[in-house]
Amino acid sequence: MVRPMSNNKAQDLRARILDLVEEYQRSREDHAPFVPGQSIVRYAGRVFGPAELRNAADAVLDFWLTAGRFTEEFEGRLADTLGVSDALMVNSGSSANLVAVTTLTSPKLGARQLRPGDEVITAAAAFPTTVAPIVQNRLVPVFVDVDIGGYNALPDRIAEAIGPRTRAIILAHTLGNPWNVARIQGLAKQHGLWLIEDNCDALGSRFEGRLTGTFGDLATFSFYPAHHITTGEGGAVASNDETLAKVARSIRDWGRDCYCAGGENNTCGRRFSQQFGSLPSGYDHKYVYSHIGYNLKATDIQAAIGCAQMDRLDGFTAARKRNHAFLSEALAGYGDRLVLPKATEGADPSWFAFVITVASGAGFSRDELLAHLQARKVETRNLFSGNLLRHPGFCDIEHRVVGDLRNTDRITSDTFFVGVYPGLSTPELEYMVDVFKGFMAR
Amino acid sequence: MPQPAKLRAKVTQIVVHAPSVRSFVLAPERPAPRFRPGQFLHLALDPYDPAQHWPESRVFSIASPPEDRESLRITVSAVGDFTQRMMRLGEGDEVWVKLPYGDFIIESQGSGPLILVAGGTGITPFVSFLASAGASASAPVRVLYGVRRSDLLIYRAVLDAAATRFRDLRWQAFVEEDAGAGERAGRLSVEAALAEARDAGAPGPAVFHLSGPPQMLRLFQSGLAAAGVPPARVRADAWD
Repeated sequence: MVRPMSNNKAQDLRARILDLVEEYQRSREDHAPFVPGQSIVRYAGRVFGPAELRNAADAVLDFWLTAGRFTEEFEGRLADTLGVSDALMVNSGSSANLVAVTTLTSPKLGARQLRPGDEVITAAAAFPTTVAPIVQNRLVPVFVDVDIGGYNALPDRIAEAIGPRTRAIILAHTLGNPWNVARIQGLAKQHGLWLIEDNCDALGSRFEGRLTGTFGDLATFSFYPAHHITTGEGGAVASNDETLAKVARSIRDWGRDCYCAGGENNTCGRRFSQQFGSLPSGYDHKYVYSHIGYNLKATDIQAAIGCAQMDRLDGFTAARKRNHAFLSEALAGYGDRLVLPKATEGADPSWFAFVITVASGAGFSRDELLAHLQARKVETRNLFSGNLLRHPGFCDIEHRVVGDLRNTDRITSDTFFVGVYPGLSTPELEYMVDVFKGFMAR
Repeated sequence: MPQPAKLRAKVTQIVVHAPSVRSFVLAPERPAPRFRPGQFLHLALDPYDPAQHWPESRVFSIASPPEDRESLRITVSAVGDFTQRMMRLGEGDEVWVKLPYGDFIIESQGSGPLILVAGGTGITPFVSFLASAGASASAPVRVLYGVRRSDLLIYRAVLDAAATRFRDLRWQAFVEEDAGAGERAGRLSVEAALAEARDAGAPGPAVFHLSGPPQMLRLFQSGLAAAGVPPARVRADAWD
């Protein structure tokens, strides 16, 4: 990490402050023992330590505030980890999806530009902001059903859904489980469709050995505290296509054509010698707008935390897999009453959570099981929205459904998840299993 | 284009080509972001405090291949105060760089010949392409390299090596004052570039890449336009 230059007193004070921040964090780290039945077993949570606080304090002392040196480092490290040319930090995973879908509406894409009324295939069993950007860009979502167990869109249904106005596919790797990349990427290529991977819940997952978030034309990431790494609020868009990345940056940064970072000028060397639209020749490039954009940038403080979290990514991924495997093995005997999660063939998920559907004829409802878990302090969550089309904000949107959404509806009423996040201890996992066993033995 | 990064870098090697022309090899403190042949960096001589604005800097095309992100090479001709200061740099000195920038990307596209026209140190963006182990071109590549004196053909070895590695690459030196064997006397000319494009024997239309002093760029841009070459097939490494 580059250390800022300053006078000796300032440098000395800074070093002491940062050391004290680390010491503070070490002193308050929670070593309270887990008390079964009293301590809450969380479904997710931040896992952090002195390095995150030190970086955050370092960024605060810079007081650069907007995207700066830590953002550069974070974007570079994320791109290198993924092996893509561009990673662009934004202020949330939802913003990442908004940027990604809006990018495809850019006139710079020529004949492949998405236009109002074009269709985008997606799943209704989703997080709302996977679908919302489709509607926000006056495109039409086409919903297909998902499978129970893997919770991803059915490739056969996607193939069936492709029509004359279909232009793109956007799908989340549900709760870390990659969708069938081979089939779906093949369909996208065959039909000339854009492919967006919503990788918000899947950083570290792989399909046939390759990281998800590297297959689509664009991929999105979330760093909300529940996610695989966190920056508090935060997200990213990744791409290996320079044109798409440039457009995405423009959409993120007010729609401007110039790519200078905040506080910089004329890094392209042609600030006053180009001509755009019907502007006078040589109009200041810094204030030329080629898109209807937003300001979705994150702060350097968030990126600073992200840099420290990147150091933990491999450990986090291993812990998520380990915790998931533990629950899979411990609950395997209840397969007649609980549909346990199943990775897509060829996939190696870094699971976001342990997702369960109450089996038909189980003899109990999801809500009964959840009440039992909740009473014993085991935290659960539904699979996000369930069927999004049943929500007030979405029930009147223009859309198309191909086939039926039977499984999506079933998820709405029968599916939930518990945690596998790296902060869970072995006693917590063992206790969670005991609580399940207690319910099953009723 | 990856988000540019600002990096402290150490000068690890200085090659003096002439009293006012030097190459600098810079080792950034961590690997530079991915860049593409033809892109440039900003170099600052004064220390950069990340809590403050970027100091005064100048831009230089990257002459090293993109696969080498731990060692960046630039070639500088002293023409003003800033570049005069650069002539006083020594090995071991620290500078700051930020990169990558620019859309003057050198790559082979289509079946037409790639005509690279370089004046003086304007050869550097082409060197990044020609020195890259990953670079190749199925179409012919022709390099026209103009200098004042033959000792300023500083990337002759890179061009010779590329000529043996690429499927169909030829280069021609244009030397104003002391042309030697195999070198053409005089300045680069639009006619010579057009002749190379015509004689390359490729089915597609040529794409001309121009890099050099502003007057050279203007001369070639107007000359190629007058010869009927569409603007889309003329790319110039031009700065404000």
